[in-house]
Amino acid sequence: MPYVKSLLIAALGLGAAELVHPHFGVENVDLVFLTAVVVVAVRYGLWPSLLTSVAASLCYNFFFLPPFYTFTIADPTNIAAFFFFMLIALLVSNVAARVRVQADTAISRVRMTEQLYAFSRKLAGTATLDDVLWATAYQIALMLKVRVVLLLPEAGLLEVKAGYPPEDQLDDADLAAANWAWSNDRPAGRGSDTLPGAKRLFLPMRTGRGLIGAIGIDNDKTGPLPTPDQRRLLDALVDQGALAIERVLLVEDMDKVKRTVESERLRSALLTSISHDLKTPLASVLGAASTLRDLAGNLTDAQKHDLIATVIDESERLNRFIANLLDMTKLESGAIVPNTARHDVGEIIGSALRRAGKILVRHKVSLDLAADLPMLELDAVLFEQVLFNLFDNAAKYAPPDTTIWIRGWQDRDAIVLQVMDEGSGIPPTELESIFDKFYRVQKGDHVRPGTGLGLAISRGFVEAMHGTISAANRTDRSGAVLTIRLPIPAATAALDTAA
Amino acid sequence: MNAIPIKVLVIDDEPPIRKLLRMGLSTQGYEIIEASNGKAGLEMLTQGPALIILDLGLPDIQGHDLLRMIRARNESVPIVVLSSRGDEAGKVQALDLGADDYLTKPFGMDELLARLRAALRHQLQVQGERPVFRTGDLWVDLVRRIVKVGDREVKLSPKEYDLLRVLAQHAGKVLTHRFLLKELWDEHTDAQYLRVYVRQLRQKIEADPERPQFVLTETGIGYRLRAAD
Repeated sequence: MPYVKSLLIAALGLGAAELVHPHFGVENVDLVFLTAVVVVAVRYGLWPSLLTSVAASLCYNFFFLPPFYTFTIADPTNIAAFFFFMLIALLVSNVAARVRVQADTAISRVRMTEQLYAFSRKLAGTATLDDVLWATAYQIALMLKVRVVLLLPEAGLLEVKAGYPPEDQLDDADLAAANWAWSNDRPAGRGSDTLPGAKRLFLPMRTGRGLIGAIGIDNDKTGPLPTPDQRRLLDALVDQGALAIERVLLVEDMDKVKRTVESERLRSALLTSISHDLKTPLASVLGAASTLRDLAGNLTDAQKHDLIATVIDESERLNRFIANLLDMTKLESGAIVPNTARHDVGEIIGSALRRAGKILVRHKVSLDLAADLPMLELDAVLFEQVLFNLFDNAAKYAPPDTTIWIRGWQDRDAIVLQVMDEGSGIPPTELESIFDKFYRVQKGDHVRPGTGLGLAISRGFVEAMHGTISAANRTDRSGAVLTIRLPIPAATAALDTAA
Repeated sequence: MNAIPIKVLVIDDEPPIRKLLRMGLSTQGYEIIEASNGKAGLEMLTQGPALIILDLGLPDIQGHDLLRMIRARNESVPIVVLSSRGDEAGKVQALDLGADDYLTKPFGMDELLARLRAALRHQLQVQGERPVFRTGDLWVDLVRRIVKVGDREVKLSPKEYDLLRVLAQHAGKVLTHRFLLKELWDEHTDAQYLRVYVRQLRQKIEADPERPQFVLTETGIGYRLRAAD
């Protein structure tokens, strides 16, 4: 097609020359033809312009050099003119064509740079390894018109992680070539020196930090793959892909490190808590019991009684602590499956108060429940433990002889239960963190005894029963308010209790 | 009690617990025989214990299986099981298999003695039912069906009275939801009915129904009426 067009342009040149010739003489005719040659060279490149040069020379000779309408030239001067014309036409077409090639190259470079830029932006916005791998494979496949597989090491050997079109498995020859390319940092497989029998060509993917994997490409054509033209683009794409993969892997590593640090922190908090909370009551028990054994003769009855009370109280504390640890372990391992049924909240409050009786002896308890609260869908054992923990907490943080208030009422489609104390309250910045594991309100150096697990367990249990629990401070005076909201189950048939 | 000591069989694999029980029970005039595993415990049934304290976590025979075996050999001996907290389902199962009561480890000696007394008293009651039950201010005439709190006579509906009667006949002993439902309705009735009647009963006989002194909730298991005075 370019050749036909070139000849058409040569013909146009001839027409123009015929128009010019009568007015400006034969000296200007060759310029008209040269113009045609330049136009073709710029438009269509070297070979069409050479064709045009030859055609223009022949036309020049045939139509404008005497004897007209023959290819012979009579005048020796004209012979020289003809050959100069031909030479100039060839030179001009050559130069013009080279300009054209450079322009083409520049345009394709710009386009490639644009695509690479778009690719790098796409990669930068991709957070997961799978997405990065897929984007890389897709982009290379699209731009180079090849099939792509990406391989990353898994336990010392490369495995296919992505492909475009999708590919899960490679045959042994390809896997061997991929692994060779990766471990020797050189190309292998099709068209290379190593394992050329493989279906694909494998190139190592590397970043400044080292090798991260390999990429395999193939297509249905024979001949070099990639072509020298494709090579630079492929290198650029592979580099960008490698960097993005490395970035994602680094982020994943950092997350892992962070998680490890976090779990280490929890573990050490747990150890501190356990060693403190197990050993403190044990020390009291052991101390009191050995005093009774060794020094009984020197003690008054009142002192003996006091020591025995210590043994019992501290053992009970230890028992509560171990129960908390067990509850927390169950919650964390997902072993808590609420066994719910319709329950009267007042009844569970009553049994929790009875269980906490000993803890609450030094406090007054005021119970104010609205009449006729509907029954709730609860696990009675879990809910009793929630309330017990709240009472335990209130007793721990509110001074003796103050009142612990328990209130309950219906608020639209929920029942609200509040446990309020007359202690110093909760620092406003810590209203949420008190539900964290191993959290304790700290006052100076003094840490209250207890595991810091009670509220975390309470929240876990309440949420398992589809309720919420939150903390606030009283507005009428100092003191903490723990509020539980539990949904009222959908209406059920009224029970016939007239009998 | 001193004339003919009551023989108690303790089946527990922990020597310190057996020692504690031996000391505690002997102060009350009980005679103790001990087994450190289920097999030995079964063999000692031939010695005719009047009561059995059974730890559910034995090394050789699973607790509930052992309970079944004991009941197969002796239907009436009262059995108090020892179990750990948080195992409400296991306790209910033990009670339904014929245990008379349970204690959660760790427990206090006063609690244990109270449970043993309740279990033994109940056995005596079954043999000759007492016509009047009394605990604190609560007074129930099981023949004339009259209930009083202090001097005040309380009017109960027939179902409420039946509930109180069953509780009083087993006073001091825990009764599972299922047992109570079976006695009052049938086994498959929703436990919600029971809770409603308990609430109503408390409103009539308790001074503070939210903090009951007579009808006590054993969360996740059932109810217990305070033992007779």
